[in-house]
Amino acid sequence: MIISKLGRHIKSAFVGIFRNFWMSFSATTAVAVTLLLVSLFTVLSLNVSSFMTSIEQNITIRAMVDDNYDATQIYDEKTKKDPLGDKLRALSGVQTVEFVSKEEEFDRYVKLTGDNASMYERLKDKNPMSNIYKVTLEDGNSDYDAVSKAIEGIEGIKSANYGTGGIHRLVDIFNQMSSVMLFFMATLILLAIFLISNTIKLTIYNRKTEIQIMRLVGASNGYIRFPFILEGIIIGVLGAIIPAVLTVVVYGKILETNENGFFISSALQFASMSEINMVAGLLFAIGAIVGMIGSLISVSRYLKA
Amino acid sequence: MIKFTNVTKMYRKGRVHALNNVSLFIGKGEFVYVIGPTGAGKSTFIKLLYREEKATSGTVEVNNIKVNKISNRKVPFYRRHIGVIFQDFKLLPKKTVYENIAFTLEVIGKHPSLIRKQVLNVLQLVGLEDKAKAFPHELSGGQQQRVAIARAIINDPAVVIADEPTGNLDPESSKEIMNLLEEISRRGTTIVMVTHDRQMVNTYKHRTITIESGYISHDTMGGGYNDNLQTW
Repeated sequence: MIISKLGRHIKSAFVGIFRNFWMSFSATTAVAVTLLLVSLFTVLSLNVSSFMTSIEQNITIRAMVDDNYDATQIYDEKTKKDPLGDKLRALSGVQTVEFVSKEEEFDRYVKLTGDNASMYERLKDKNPMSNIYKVTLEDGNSDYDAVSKAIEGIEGIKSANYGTGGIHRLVDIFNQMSSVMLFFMATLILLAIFLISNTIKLTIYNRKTEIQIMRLVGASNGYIRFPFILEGIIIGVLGAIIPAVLTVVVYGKILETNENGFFISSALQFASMSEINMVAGLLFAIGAIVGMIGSLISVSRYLKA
Repeated sequence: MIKFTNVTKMYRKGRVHALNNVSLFIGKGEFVYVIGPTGAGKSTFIKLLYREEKATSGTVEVNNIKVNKISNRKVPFYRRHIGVIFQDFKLLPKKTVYENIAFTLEVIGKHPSLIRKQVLNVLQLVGLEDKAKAFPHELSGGQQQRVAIARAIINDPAVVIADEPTGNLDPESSKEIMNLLEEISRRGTTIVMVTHDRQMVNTYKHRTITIESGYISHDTMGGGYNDNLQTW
Protein backbone atom coordinates (compact mmCIF):
# COMPACT_ATOMS: atom_id res chain seq x y z
CA MET A 1 0.00 0.00 0.00
CA ILE A 2 2.84 2.34 0.85
CA ILE A 3 4.40 1.69 -2.55
CA SER A 4 1.18 2.36 -4.40
CA LYS A 5 0.80 5.57 -2.35
CA LEU A 6 4.32 6.73 -3.19
CA GLY A 7 3.71 5.89 -6.83
CA ARG A 8 0.56 8.00 -6.76
CA HIS A 9 2.43 10.91 -5.21
CA ILE A 10 5.19 10.82 -7.80
CA LYS A 11 2.66 10.50 -10.58
CA SER A 12 0.63 13.35 -9.12
CA ALA A 13 3.74 15.55 -8.88
CA PHE A 14 4.58 15.02 -12.54
CA VAL A 15 0.96 15.45 -13.60
CA GLY A 16 0.91 18.67 -11.55
CA ILE A 17 3.98 20.00 -13.31
CA PHE A 18 2.67 19.04 -16.71
CA ARG A 19 -0.86 20.41 -16.23
CA ASN A 20 0.55 23.70 -14.91
CA PHE A 21 3.16 23.73 -17.62
CA TRP A 22 3.69 27.47 -17.99
CA MET A 23 3.89 28.11 -14.28
CA SER A 24 6.35 25.25 -13.85
CA PHE A 25 8.28 26.49 -16.85
CA SER A 26 8.67 29.99 -15.45
CA ALA A 27 9.66 28.64 -12.04
CA THR A 28 12.26 26.40 -13.67
CA THR A 29 13.58 29.33 -15.69
CA ALA A 30 13.87 31.47 -12.57
CA VAL A 31 15.82 28.69 -10.90
CA ALA A 32 18.04 28.24 -13.95
CA VAL A 33 18.92 31.92 -14.24
CA THR A 34 19.73 32.37 -10.57
CA LEU A 35 21.71 29.15 -10.39
CA LEU A 36 23.66 30.23 -13.46
CA LEU A 37 24.65 33.40 -11.63
CA VAL A 38 25.47 31.43 -8.50
CA SER A 39 27.62 29.16 -10.62
CA LEU A 40 29.37 32.09 -12.29
CA PHE A 41 30.30 33.64 -8.97
CA THR A 42 31.32 30.35 -7.43
CA VAL A 43 33.58 29.52 -10.33
CA LEU A 44 35.09 33.02 -10.32
CA SER A 45 35.74 32.94 -6.62
CA LEU A 46 37.22 29.44 -6.83
CA ASN A 47 39.61 30.72 -9.50
CA VAL A 48 40.53 33.81 -7.54
CA SER A 49 41.43 31.68 -4.56
CA SER A 50 43.29 29.29 -6.80
CA PHE A 51 45.25 32.20 -8.33
CA MET A 52 45.98 33.44 -4.88
CA THR A 53 47.37 30.10 -3.83
CA SER A 54 49.61 29.94 -6.85
CA ILE A 55 50.87 33.47 -6.25
CA GLU A 56 51.48 32.76 -2.63
CA GLN A 57 53.37 29.65 -3.50
CA ASN A 58 55.79 31.85 -5.41
CA ILE A 59 56.20 34.43 -2.71
CA THR A 60 59.24 34.02 -0.47
CA ILE A 61 60.32 36.09 2.46
CA ARG A 62 63.97 37.09 2.22
CA ALA A 63 65.53 37.30 5.66
CA MET A 64 68.91 39.10 5.58
CA VAL A 65 71.49 37.96 8.08
CA ASP A 66 73.31 40.64 10.05
CA ASP A 67 76.87 40.91 8.61
CA ASN A 68 78.37 41.11 12.07
CA TYR A 69 76.51 38.05 13.31
CA ASP A 70 78.45 35.07 14.62
CA ALA A 71 79.41 33.09 11.49
CA THR A 72 79.28 29.79 13.35
CA GLN A 73 75.55 30.25 13.92
CA ILE A 74 74.66 30.32 10.26
CA TYR A 75 74.47 27.48 7.76
CA ASP A 76 77.66 25.52 7.31
CA GLU A 77 77.93 23.52 4.12
CA LYS A 78 80.33 20.94 5.53
CA THR A 79 78.75 20.15 8.88
CA LYS A 80 75.19 20.89 7.68
CA LYS A 81 74.70 22.66 10.99
CA ASP A 82 72.31 25.59 10.84
CA PRO A 83 71.31 26.98 14.27
CA LEU A 84 69.86 30.24 12.90
CA GLY A 85 67.96 28.45 10.13
CA ASP A 86 66.48 26.08 12.71
CA LYS A 87 65.18 29.05 14.67
CA LEU A 88 63.40 30.23 11.51
CA ARG A 89 62.01 26.76 10.86
CA ALA A 90 60.58 26.72 14.37
CA LEU A 91 58.35 29.75 13.63
CA SER A 92 54.70 28.93 13.17
CA GLY A 93 53.41 29.07 9.61
CA VAL A 94 56.80 28.52 8.05
CA GLN A 95 57.10 25.72 5.55
CA THR A 96 60.62 25.79 4.07
CA VAL A 97 63.80 27.66 4.89
CA GLU A 98 66.65 27.79 2.40
CA PHE A 99 70.07 29.36 2.95
CA VAL A 100 71.68 31.46 0.19
CA SER A 101 75.25 32.67 0.77
CA LYS A 102 76.31 36.24 -0.01
CA GLU A 103 78.48 34.94 -2.84
CA GLU A 104 75.54 33.20 -4.47
CA GLU A 105 73.51 36.35 -4.04
CA PHE A 106 76.24 38.41 -5.67
CA ASP A 107 76.46 36.03 -8.64
CA ARG A 108 72.69 36.13 -9.09
CA TYR A 109 72.73 39.92 -9.02
CA VAL A 110 75.59 40.12 -11.49
CA LYS A 111 73.76 37.78 -13.84
CA LEU A 112 70.70 40.01 -13.67
CA THR A 113 72.70 43.03 -14.83
CA GLY A 114 73.84 41.12 -17.93
CA ASP A 115 76.27 43.14 -20.07
CA ASN A 116 77.95 45.00 -17.29
CA ALA A 117 78.88 41.77 -15.55
CA SER A 118 82.61 42.30 -16.02
CA MET A 119 82.37 45.62 -14.26
CA TYR A 120 81.09 44.00 -11.15
CA GLU A 121 83.67 41.24 -11.15
CA ARG A 122 86.13 43.73 -9.66
CA LEU A 123 83.80 44.39 -6.80
CA LYS A 124 83.71 40.78 -5.76
CA ASP A 125 86.17 41.26 -2.93
CA LYS A 126 84.06 44.01 -1.46
CA ASN A 127 80.84 42.03 -1.83
CA PRO A 128 78.03 44.37 -0.64
CA MET A 129 75.51 41.52 -0.38
CA SER A 130 74.40 39.75 2.79
CA ASN A 131 73.79 36.10 3.50
CA ILE A 132 70.06 35.44 3.30
CA TYR A 133 67.45 32.85 4.21
CA LYS A 134 64.58 32.30 1.80
CA VAL A 135 61.45 31.46 3.76
CA THR A 136 58.18 30.12 2.29
CA LEU A 137 54.92 29.83 4.18
CA GLU A 138 52.57 26.92 4.59
CA ASP A 139 49.62 26.62 2.18
CA GLY A 140 46.74 28.80 3.17
CA ASN A 141 48.86 31.11 5.29
CA SER A 142 48.96 34.52 3.69
CA ASP A 143 49.97 36.58 6.69
CA TYR A 144 53.38 37.57 5.34
CA ASP A 145 53.53 40.69 7.47
CA ALA A 146 53.24 38.84 10.75
CA VAL A 147 55.79 36.19 9.80
CA SER A 148 58.23 38.83 8.52
CA LYS A 149 57.96 40.71 11.81
CA ALA A 150 58.53 37.51 13.75
CA ILE A 151 61.62 36.80 11.64
CA GLU A 152 62.98 40.28 12.22
CA GLY A 153 62.60 39.66 15.94
CA ILE A 154 65.14 36.86 15.81
CA GLU A 155 68.67 37.78 16.84
CA GLY A 156 71.04 37.85 13.88
CA ILE A 157 68.46 38.90 11.31
CA LYS A 158 68.96 42.39 9.96
CA SER A 159 65.71 42.67 8.07
CA ALA A 160 63.05 40.56 6.39
CA ASN A 161 60.91 41.50 3.42
CA TYR A 162 58.91 39.83 0.72
CA GLY A 163 58.39 40.76 -2.89
CA THR A 164 57.75 44.26 -4.01
CA GLY A 165 54.89 46.59 -3.24
CA GLY A 166 53.15 45.22 -6.31
CA ILE A 167 52.77 41.72 -4.94
CA HIS A 168 51.72 43.19 -1.66
CA ARG A 169 48.85 44.95 -3.31
CA LEU A 170 47.89 41.99 -5.50
CA VAL A 171 47.46 39.77 -2.46
CA ASP A 172 45.36 42.44 -0.82
CA ILE A 173 43.17 42.85 -3.87
CA PHE A 174 42.62 39.12 -4.21
CA ASN A 175 41.76 38.85 -0.56
CA GLN A 176 39.19 41.59 -0.90
CA MET A 177 37.82 40.13 -4.10
CA SER A 178 37.05 36.81 -2.51
CA SER A 179 35.16 38.35 0.37
CA VAL A 180 33.14 40.49 -2.02
CA MET A 181 32.33 37.42 -4.08
CA LEU A 182 31.30 35.47 -1.02
CA PHE A 183 28.89 38.26 -0.21
CA PHE A 184 27.50 38.24 -3.76
CA MET A 185 27.04 34.48 -3.65
CA ALA A 186 25.16 34.56 -0.36
CA THR A 187 22.91 37.31 -1.73
CA LEU A 188 22.26 35.34 -4.90
CA ILE A 189 21.33 32.17 -3.05
CA LEU A 190 18.88 34.14 -0.91
CA LEU A 191 17.50 35.68 -4.07
CA ALA A 192 17.12 32.21 -5.57
CA ILE A 193 15.17 30.99 -2.55
CA PHE A 194 12.95 34.05 -2.74
CA LEU A 195 12.34 33.71 -6.48
CA ILE A 196 11.65 30.00 -6.37
CA SER A 197 9.38 30.08 -3.35
CA ASN A 198 7.54 32.98 -4.87
CA THR A 199 6.99 31.24 -8.16
CA ILE A 200 5.93 28.05 -6.46
CA LYS A 201 3.62 30.12 -4.30
CA LEU A 202 2.03 31.29 -7.54
CA THR A 203 1.60 27.76 -8.87
CA ILE A 204 0.08 26.75 -5.56
CA TYR A 205 -2.15 29.81 -5.45
CA ASN A 206 -3.55 28.73 -8.80
CA ARG A 207 -4.42 25.41 -7.18
CA LYS A 208 -6.00 26.80 -4.03
CA THR A 209 -9.32 25.15 -4.82
CA GLU A 210 -7.55 21.89 -5.43
CA ILE A 211 -6.10 22.02 -1.93
CA GLN A 212 -9.47 23.04 -0.48
CA ILE A 213 -11.16 20.09 -2.13
CA MET A 214 -8.41 17.76 -0.99
CA ARG A 215 -9.01 18.89 2.57
CA LEU A 216 -12.73 18.51 2.09
CA VAL A 217 -12.57 14.87 1.02
CA GLY A 218 -10.33 14.04 3.97
CA ALA A 219 -6.79 14.24 2.63
CA SER A 220 -4.35 14.67 5.53
CA ASN A 221 -1.98 17.63 5.47
CA GLY A 222 0.99 15.36 4.83
CA TYR A 223 -0.80 13.79 1.89
CA ILE A 224 -1.58 17.20 0.38
CA ARG A 225 1.90 18.55 1.00
CA PHE A 226 3.88 15.66 -0.42
CA PRO A 227 3.23 16.06 -4.16
CA PHE A 228 3.81 19.81 -3.90
CA ILE A 229 7.14 19.25 -2.20
CA LEU A 230 8.09 16.67 -4.82
CA GLU A 231 7.09 19.19 -7.46
CA GLY A 232 9.30 21.82 -5.87
CA ILE A 233 12.25 19.45 -5.79
CA ILE A 234 11.69 18.39 -9.39
CA ILE A 235 11.44 22.03 -10.52
CA GLY A 236 14.62 22.88 -8.60
CA VAL A 237 16.54 19.96 -10.05
CA LEU A 238 15.27 20.63 -13.58
CA GLY A 239 16.32 24.25 -13.18
CA ALA A 240 19.82 23.14 -12.18
CA ILE A 241 20.41 21.01 -15.29
CA ILE A 242 21.21 23.79 -17.75
CA PRO A 243 23.49 25.83 -15.44
CA ALA A 244 25.30 22.68 -14.30
CA VAL A 245 25.90 21.42 -17.83
CA LEU A 246 26.92 24.88 -19.02
CA THR A 247 29.33 25.28 -16.12
CA VAL A 248 31.09 21.98 -16.76
CA VAL A 249 31.20 22.25 -20.55
CA VAL A 250 32.21 25.92 -20.78
CA TYR A 251 34.78 25.63 -18.04
CA GLY A 252 36.24 22.52 -19.67
CA LYS A 253 36.63 24.48 -22.92
CA ILE A 254 38.35 27.35 -21.12
CA LEU A 255 40.80 25.02 -19.42
CA GLU A 256 41.51 23.29 -22.71
CA THR A 257 42.11 26.56 -24.54
CA ASN A 258 44.34 27.88 -21.80
CA GLU A 259 46.52 24.80 -21.69
CA ASN A 260 49.21 26.64 -23.63
CA GLY A 261 48.88 29.87 -21.70
CA PHE A 262 46.33 31.37 -24.06
CA PHE A 263 44.65 33.72 -21.56
CA ILE A 264 46.89 33.87 -18.55
CA SER A 265 50.41 32.65 -17.96
CA SER A 266 50.70 29.12 -16.68
CA ALA A 267 52.23 30.46 -13.48
CA LEU A 268 48.66 31.09 -12.34
CA GLN A 269 46.75 27.96 -11.62
CA PHE A 270 43.09 27.64 -12.60
CA ALA A 271 40.59 25.89 -10.33
CA SER A 272 40.67 22.22 -11.26
CA MET A 273 37.94 20.39 -13.17
CA SER A 274 37.10 18.26 -10.15
CA GLU A 275 36.33 21.39 -8.17
CA ILE A 276 34.05 22.55 -10.98
CA ASN A 277 32.27 19.19 -11.04
CA MET A 278 31.60 19.73 -7.36
CA VAL A 279 30.12 23.13 -8.16
CA ALA A 280 27.79 21.42 -10.63
CA GLY A 281 26.73 18.97 -7.94
CA LEU A 282 26.24 21.87 -5.57
CA LEU A 283 23.89 23.52 -8.05
CA PHE A 284 21.66 20.44 -8.07
CA ALA A 285 21.68 20.34 -4.28
CA ILE A 286 20.82 24.05 -4.01
CA GLY A 287 18.06 23.65 -6.60
CA ALA A 288 16.50 20.70 -4.80
CA ILE A 289 16.72 22.22 -1.33
CA VAL A 290 15.50 25.62 -2.41
CA GLY A 291 12.61 24.06 -4.36
CA MET A 292 11.65 22.01 -1.35
CA ILE A 293 11.80 24.93 1.06
CA GLY A 294 9.93 27.12 -1.39
CA SER A 295 6.98 24.78 -1.79
CA LEU A 296 6.94 23.88 1.89
CA ILE A 297 6.57 27.54 2.81
CA SER A 298 3.97 28.13 0.16
CA VAL A 299 1.75 25.11 0.68
CA SER A 300 1.70 25.43 4.46
CA ARG A 301 -0.17 28.70 4.11
CA TYR A 302 -3.17 26.82 2.78
CA LEU A 303 -3.13 24.06 5.36
CA LYS A 304 -3.65 26.08 8.51
CA ALA A 305 -7.42 25.98 8.85
CA MET B 1 -26.76 11.47 15.42
CA ILE B 2 -26.30 15.24 15.23
CA LYS B 3 -26.58 17.09 18.52
CA PHE B 4 -26.09 20.80 19.18
CA THR B 5 -25.99 21.83 22.82
CA ASN B 6 -26.07 25.56 23.56
CA VAL B 7 -23.94 26.32 20.54
CA THR B 8 -22.81 29.89 20.05
CA LYS B 9 -20.57 31.01 17.22
CA MET B 10 -19.08 34.48 17.17
CA TYR B 11 -16.91 36.00 14.49
CA ARG B 12 -14.44 38.85 14.73
CA LYS B 13 -13.80 38.51 18.46
CA GLY B 14 -17.42 38.53 19.49
CA ARG B 15 -18.60 41.48 17.45
CA VAL B 16 -20.67 39.31 15.11
CA HIS B 17 -22.97 36.64 16.55
CA ALA B 18 -23.67 34.12 13.82
CA LEU B 19 -25.38 31.57 16.04
CA ASN B 20 -26.85 32.19 19.49
CA ASN B 21 -27.23 29.40 22.00
CA VAL B 22 -28.61 26.89 19.52
CA SER B 23 -29.65 23.42 20.68
CA LEU B 24 -31.14 20.72 18.49
CA PHE B 25 -31.15 17.04 17.74
CA ILE B 26 -31.25 15.32 14.36
CA GLY B 27 -31.70 11.55 14.41
CA LYS B 28 -30.03 8.92 12.29
CA GLY B 29 -31.40 8.72 8.76
CA GLU B 30 -33.37 11.98 9.03
CA PHE B 31 -33.70 14.32 6.06
CA VAL B 32 -33.64 17.92 7.29
CA TYR B 33 -33.92 21.24 5.48
CA VAL B 34 -32.24 24.28 6.93
CA ILE B 35 -33.81 27.49 5.66
CA GLY B 36 -33.65 31.14 6.52
CA PRO B 37 -32.69 34.52 5.11
CA THR B 38 -29.21 35.26 3.84
CA GLY B 39 -26.82 35.97 6.69
CA ALA B 40 -29.05 34.31 9.30
CA GLY B 41 -26.48 31.71 10.24
CA LYS B 42 -27.30 28.77 7.93
CA SER B 43 -23.79 28.61 6.51
CA THR B 44 -22.25 28.81 9.96
CA PHE B 45 -24.55 26.01 11.05
CA ILE B 46 -23.28 23.58 8.43
CA LYS B 47 -19.66 24.81 8.65
CA LEU B 48 -19.75 23.76 12.28
CA LEU B 49 -20.94 20.34 11.14
CA TYR B 50 -18.03 19.66 8.80
CA ARG B 51 -15.61 21.45 11.11
CA GLU B 52 -14.73 24.28 8.78
CA GLU B 53 -15.47 26.47 11.80
CA LYS B 54 -15.26 25.79 15.51
CA ALA B 55 -18.04 26.67 17.95
CA THR B 56 -17.16 29.54 20.28
CA SER B 57 -19.07 27.81 23.07
CA GLY B 58 -21.34 24.78 23.47
CA THR B 59 -20.83 21.36 21.93
CA VAL B 60 -21.44 20.02 18.45
CA GLU B 61 -21.68 16.24 18.30
CA VAL B 62 -21.81 14.17 15.13
CA ASN B 63 -21.95 10.41 15.46
CA ASN B 64 -20.92 10.79 19.12
CA ILE B 65 -17.79 12.68 18.09
CA LYS B 66 -17.38 16.07 19.75
CA VAL B 67 -16.65 18.02 16.57
CA ASN B 68 -15.43 21.21 18.21
CA LYS B 69 -12.82 19.19 20.12
CA ILE B 70 -11.15 17.93 16.94
CA SER B 71 -7.67 19.39 16.43
CA ASN B 72 -6.83 21.00 13.08
CA ARG B 73 -4.52 18.13 12.25
CA LYS B 74 -7.28 15.55 12.77
CA VAL B 75 -9.94 17.38 10.75
CA PRO B 76 -9.16 15.42 7.55
CA PHE B 77 -9.77 12.12 9.36
CA TYR B 78 -13.11 13.37 10.68
CA ARG B 79 -14.17 14.49 7.22
CA ARG B 80 -13.83 10.94 5.95
CA HIS B 81 -16.99 10.13 7.91
CA ILE B 82 -19.12 12.86 6.37
CA GLY B 83 -19.98 13.85 2.82
CA VAL B 84 -20.29 17.46 1.72
CA ILE B 85 -22.03 18.83 -1.40
CA PHE B 86 -21.86 22.44 -2.56
CA GLN B 87 -23.83 24.75 -4.79
CA ASP B 88 -20.76 25.17 -7.03
CA PHE B 89 -19.98 21.41 -7.06
CA LYS B 90 -16.27 21.91 -6.20
CA LEU B 91 -15.01 19.28 -8.60
CA LEU B 92 -11.35 19.21 -9.63
CA PRO B 93 -11.51 20.66 -13.15
CA LYS B 94 -8.40 18.86 -14.36
CA LYS B 95 -9.50 15.42 -13.25
CA THR B 96 -12.02 13.22 -15.02
CA VAL B 97 -15.27 12.17 -13.38
CA TYR B 98 -13.70 8.85 -12.46
CA GLU B 99 -10.57 10.49 -11.04
CA ASN B 100 -12.60 13.02 -9.07
CA ILE B 101 -14.45 10.27 -7.27
CA ALA B 102 -11.53 7.87 -6.98
CA PHE B 103 -9.47 10.64 -5.42
CA THR B 104 -11.49 10.45 -2.21
CA LEU B 105 -10.52 6.81 -1.82
CA GLU B 106 -6.91 7.26 -2.93
CA VAL B 107 -6.50 9.84 -0.21
CA ILE B 108 -7.32 7.28 2.47
CA GLY B 109 -5.02 4.71 0.90
CA LYS B 110 -7.48 2.18 -0.51
CA HIS B 111 -6.24 -0.49 -2.85
CA PRO B 112 -6.61 0.44 -6.55
CA SER B 113 -8.68 -2.62 -7.47
CA LEU B 114 -11.08 -1.85 -4.63
CA ILE B 115 -11.26 1.78 -5.70
CA ARG B 116 -12.23 0.80 -9.22
CA LYS B 117 -15.06 -1.40 -8.03
CA GLN B 118 -16.43 1.18 -5.62
CA VAL B 119 -16.24 4.07 -8.08
CA LEU B 120 -18.04 2.14 -10.79
CA ASN B 121 -20.73 1.16 -8.26
CA VAL B 122 -21.35 4.69 -7.13
CA LEU B 123 -21.33 6.00 -10.70
CA GLN B 124 -24.05 3.52 -11.48
CA LEU B 125 -26.02 4.70 -8.45
CA VAL B 126 -25.97 8.32 -9.70
CA GLY B 127 -26.56 7.19 -13.27
CA LEU B 128 -23.32 8.42 -14.82
CA GLU B 129 -21.51 5.19 -15.61
CA ASP B 130 -21.09 6.29 -19.22
CA LYS B 131 -19.46 9.61 -18.21
CA ALA B 132 -16.53 8.17 -16.24
CA LYS B 133 -13.93 9.53 -18.65
CA ALA B 134 -15.50 12.97 -19.15
CA PHE B 135 -14.08 16.11 -17.58
CA PRO B 136 -16.37 18.27 -15.41
CA HIS B 137 -16.65 21.04 -18.01
CA GLU B 138 -18.06 18.54 -20.48
CA LEU B 139 -21.04 17.85 -18.22
CA SER B 140 -24.26 19.75 -17.47
CA GLY B 141 -24.71 21.33 -14.05
CA GLY B 142 -27.02 18.55 -12.94
CA GLN B 143 -24.53 15.93 -14.03
CA GLN B 144 -21.70 17.70 -12.23
CA GLN B 145 -23.75 17.82 -9.06
CA ARG B 146 -24.39 14.11 -9.39
CA VAL B 147 -20.63 13.55 -9.60
CA ALA B 148 -20.24 15.64 -6.46
CA ILE B 149 -22.89 13.52 -4.73
CA ALA B 150 -21.12 10.35 -5.85
CA ARG B 151 -17.92 11.71 -4.36
CA ALA B 152 -19.70 12.62 -1.12
CA ILE B 153 -21.24 9.21 -0.56
CA ILE B 154 -18.48 6.90 -1.75
CA ASN B 155 -17.09 6.50 1.78
CA ASP B 156 -20.56 5.54 2.97
CA PRO B 157 -20.75 8.49 5.35
CA ALA B 158 -23.22 8.66 8.24
CA VAL B 159 -24.07 12.26 7.38
CA VAL B 160 -24.32 14.12 4.08
CA ILE B 161 -24.28 17.91 4.26
CA ALA B 162 -25.62 19.74 1.24
CA ASP B 163 -25.18 23.49 0.88
CA GLU B 164 -27.83 24.65 -1.61
CA PRO B 165 -27.20 21.70 -3.90
CA THR B 166 -29.85 22.81 -6.38
CA GLY B 167 -29.03 26.52 -6.22
CA ASN B 168 -27.38 26.57 -9.64
CA LEU B 169 -29.63 24.08 -11.39
CA ASP B 170 -32.72 24.22 -13.58
CA PRO B 171 -35.95 22.71 -12.16
CA GLU B 172 -35.56 19.48 -14.10
CA SER B 173 -32.02 18.83 -12.82
CA SER B 174 -33.04 19.93 -9.34
CA LYS B 175 -35.68 17.22 -9.30
CA GLU B 176 -33.11 14.61 -10.28
CA ILE B 177 -30.82 15.75 -7.48
CA MET B 178 -33.63 15.68 -4.94
CA ASN B 179 -34.67 12.18 -6.00
CA LEU B 180 -31.07 11.08 -5.62
CA LEU B 181 -30.74 12.63 -2.16
CA GLU B 182 -33.99 10.99 -1.03
CA GLU B 183 -32.71 7.67 -2.33
CA ILE B 184 -29.54 8.13 -0.27
CA SER B 185 -31.63 9.10 2.74
CA ARG B 186 -33.66 5.91 2.42
CA ARG B 187 -30.45 3.92 2.75
CA GLY B 188 -30.06 5.29 6.28
CA THR B 189 -27.83 8.30 5.69
CA THR B 190 -28.65 11.50 7.57
CA ILE B 191 -29.04 14.46 5.23
CA VAL B 192 -28.81 18.11 6.22
CA MET B 193 -29.65 20.38 3.30
CA VAL B 194 -29.48 24.14 3.27
CA THR B 195 -31.76 25.63 0.66
CA HIS B 196 -33.54 28.73 -0.59
CA ASP B 197 -35.77 26.80 -2.91
CA ARG B 198 -39.29 27.26 -1.59
CA GLN B 199 -40.89 24.98 -4.15
CA MET B 200 -38.47 22.18 -3.36
CA VAL B 201 -39.26 22.35 0.36
CA ASN B 202 -42.98 22.28 -0.35
CA THR B 203 -42.79 19.44 -2.86
CA TYR B 204 -40.41 17.09 -1.08
CA LYS B 205 -41.67 17.40 2.46
CA HIS B 206 -39.21 16.90 5.28
CA ARG B 207 -38.43 18.32 8.69
CA THR B 208 -37.60 21.99 8.22
CA ILE B 209 -35.44 24.07 10.56
CA THR B 210 -35.65 27.82 10.12
CA ILE B 211 -32.75 29.93 11.31
CA GLU B 212 -33.23 33.66 11.73
CA SER B 213 -30.67 36.09 13.18
CA GLY B 214 -28.72 33.28 14.74
CA TYR B 215 -31.68 31.58 16.43
CA ILE B 216 -33.83 28.64 15.44
CA SER B 217 -37.18 30.33 14.87
CA HIS B 218 -39.13 27.28 13.65
CA ASP B 219 -38.64 23.57 13.62
CA THR B 220 -41.49 21.85 11.86
CA MET B 221 -41.77 18.12 11.27
CA GLY B 222 -42.49 17.45 7.61
CA GLY B 223 -43.92 20.91 7.35
CA GLY B 224 -42.45 22.58 4.35
CA TYR B 225 -42.45 26.36 4.05
CA ASN B 226 -45.02 27.93 6.30
CA ASP B 227 -46.08 30.89 4.27
CA ASN B 228 -47.68 32.65 7.23
CA LEU B 229 -44.35 32.84 8.95
CA GLN B 230 -42.22 33.82 6.04
CA THR B 231 -41.64 37.50 5.86
CA TRP B 232 -38.48 37.19 3.81
